[in-house]
Amino acid sequence: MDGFLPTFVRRKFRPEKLKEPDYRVVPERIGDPRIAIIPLHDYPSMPFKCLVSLHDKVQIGQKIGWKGKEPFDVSVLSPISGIVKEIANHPVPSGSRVMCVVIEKKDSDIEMVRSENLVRIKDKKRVLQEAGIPLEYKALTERGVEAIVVNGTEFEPNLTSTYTLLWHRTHEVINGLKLLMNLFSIKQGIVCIERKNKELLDRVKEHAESSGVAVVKAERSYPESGNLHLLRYVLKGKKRVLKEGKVIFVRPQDLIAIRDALEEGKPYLEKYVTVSGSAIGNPKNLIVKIGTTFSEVLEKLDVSLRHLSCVIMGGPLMGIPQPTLHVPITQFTDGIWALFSVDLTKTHRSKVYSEGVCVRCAKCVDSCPASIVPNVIVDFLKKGLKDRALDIGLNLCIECGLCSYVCPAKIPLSLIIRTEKTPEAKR
Amino acid sequence: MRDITEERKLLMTLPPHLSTGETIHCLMFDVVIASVPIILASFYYFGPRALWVIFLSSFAAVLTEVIIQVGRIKPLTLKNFVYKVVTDERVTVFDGSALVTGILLGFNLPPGVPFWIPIVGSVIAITFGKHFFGGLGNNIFNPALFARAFLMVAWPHHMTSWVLPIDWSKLLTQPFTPWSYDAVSTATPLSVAKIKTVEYPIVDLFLGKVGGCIGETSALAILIGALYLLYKGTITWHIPIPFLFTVGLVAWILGKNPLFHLFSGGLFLGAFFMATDIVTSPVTRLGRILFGIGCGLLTILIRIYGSYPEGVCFSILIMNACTPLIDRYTLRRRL
Repeated sequence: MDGFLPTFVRRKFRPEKLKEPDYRVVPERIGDPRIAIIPLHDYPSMPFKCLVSLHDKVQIGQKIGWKGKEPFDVSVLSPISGIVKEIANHPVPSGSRVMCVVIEKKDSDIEMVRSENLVRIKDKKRVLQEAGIPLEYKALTERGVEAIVVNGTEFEPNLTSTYTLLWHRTHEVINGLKLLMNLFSIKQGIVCIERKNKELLDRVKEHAESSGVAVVKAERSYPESGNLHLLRYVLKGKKRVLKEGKVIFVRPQDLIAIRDALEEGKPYLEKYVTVSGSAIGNPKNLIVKIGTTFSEVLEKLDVSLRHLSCVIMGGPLMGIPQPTLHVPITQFTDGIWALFSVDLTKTHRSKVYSEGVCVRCAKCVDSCPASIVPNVIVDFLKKGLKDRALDIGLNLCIECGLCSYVCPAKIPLSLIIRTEKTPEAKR
Repeated sequence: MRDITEERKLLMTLPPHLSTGETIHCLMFDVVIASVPIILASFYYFGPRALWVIFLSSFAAVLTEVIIQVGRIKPLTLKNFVYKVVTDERVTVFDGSALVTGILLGFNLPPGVPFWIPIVGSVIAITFGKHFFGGLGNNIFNPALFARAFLMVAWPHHMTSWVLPIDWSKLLTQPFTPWSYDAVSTATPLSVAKIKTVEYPIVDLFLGKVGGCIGETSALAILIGALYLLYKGTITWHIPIPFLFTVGLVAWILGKNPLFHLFSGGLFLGAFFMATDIVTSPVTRLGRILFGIGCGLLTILIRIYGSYPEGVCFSILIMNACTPLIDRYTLRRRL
């Protein structure tokens, strides 16, 4: 009901921060999962190879497969020691079903901290691939990258996992960035952090000063799909001479993994995850083994799974709803948003909350981080003029969902644009 | 595989999962709130007559909208009527758009008009200006200005007979003078400036102690309302500021007093309340700036070279007609 009655409160163009965990609190590490589901590839058309078969015994950190095209393949590692229970298609948080290896935990003799395999490899670049860090290796080796940009902003209003790892492991993040820059002989490293997050900004600046990494204040936060828009901001603001094709983006989480792999020989098996939402009493940042199912994470926080009504990977703006709780945490899962909620269908809604006509108020235009014109694009799409919609930037949409959030006519702009985008732009 | 087969039913809603509680009527009632200081100022300067005109025009506007939309209800029974008004999305009486049109039309009328002028104006605004184009969201022209232009052409005598603001200090000595309808007739500063060179005190122009339409004389009251709209985020600076700036700049270049042109006539009302009408202004930021500049140029050119003393109404209507063109050339985006 906020904003329903005319008030003197300023209109919001972005959702305010929801009940979120404080990033300064030390994240909790939850133990090994009973069952780990490890997707062998990220999306159904990605090539992969499975190296284990049913009822095999696997060790923690053992390579169970690889994904991608050679020579830029990335290893898939087992996060726990146990027995392969199943190799089948499973739903993953990204919304598709991909081939997964299901491993049941068996108490093993060794607690692996240091992977001997990784230490033995001479080629440092190969170490990153063997450690299972998903980077754009092809671009890194072939395109002559000139700069690495780290998106340290958090777009979703309920997540703080990026802040947490930047706050608690600042040194590792900057170190990882330095190592990556040295490894591929890249001159520039840029970390973008929101202007309003002053404490974090100061802390990262302090660490970055000595190492020659630039820290840039960003006016607004951008989702990962909006990285190019963040870059446009960086280019404009700092007058750096960079070509857009010569820049790659790295997640802060990956930088920590790079540092761990190169300096300590640890593979990429853990992930910082924010768990929040109305179903969670006190939202927390957790360090979770990759492959842990959502249900196990929620059980550890004493959530009664019986009463959950909606579980979303990510946050309220771009999050993907999950059909089941048995989906794994992957390397791309930043948070879980679990809700006790009731979604009213159209017949139960008041008429002022049902879809109306566009009054061209341009609130969607003012809020769009990609600076496209959602209302006109949707207008063209409804009339069947897809060519003109493409002409005015249909494919530039970063699917952030802010247009639907602000629309006073309740038009599902974001949904219409997302479904009409051409398949090439979706990847 | 203890619990992998056990499926729970979870809701699958599509992102975004959040939405503001705001609806179209919030945008409209923001304008109503912002017009409160102007209504008070109009009462101060023109007495109860001003309130009467505003009431007549807004009442007629809402009634016209009700009649037009009730015509769609078949069969017309009380139960059916109430049901449709509460549930049907196409019955948009209570979203406040007709009320806003009525109030804005009232602001654009001289205080001394006969009672039927606001009524006819509102009917024209809601029918020809809005519903004949397809209803809310589809009209090309700002309905209130459309009606004002119609009234200007149809009854120029009534639309250009101005009265002097009330002198409240006389209230004690002659208690009935301010309330009488036969107020002293006068001319607007702009129509005087058309004929001869006179110096109006800028303070009077800013506060509104001059002849003119009900809502347009007091730049101060309009500014208070506009600040509310700007703070609330209902309008952006992209239209009014270029509009005002262009008028001031061109007036200065042509050797006129820019402050006189800024504070006289309906410029402030036009810039903050009429040109920013959400339906009839361009959607992109660049388009809005071009729209504002175009409005400003036309206004000052009509004022100085045209035979009409005031050009805000016609300049905004002309730029409304240009809105699809501006949109067309400012929509394209690259990364």
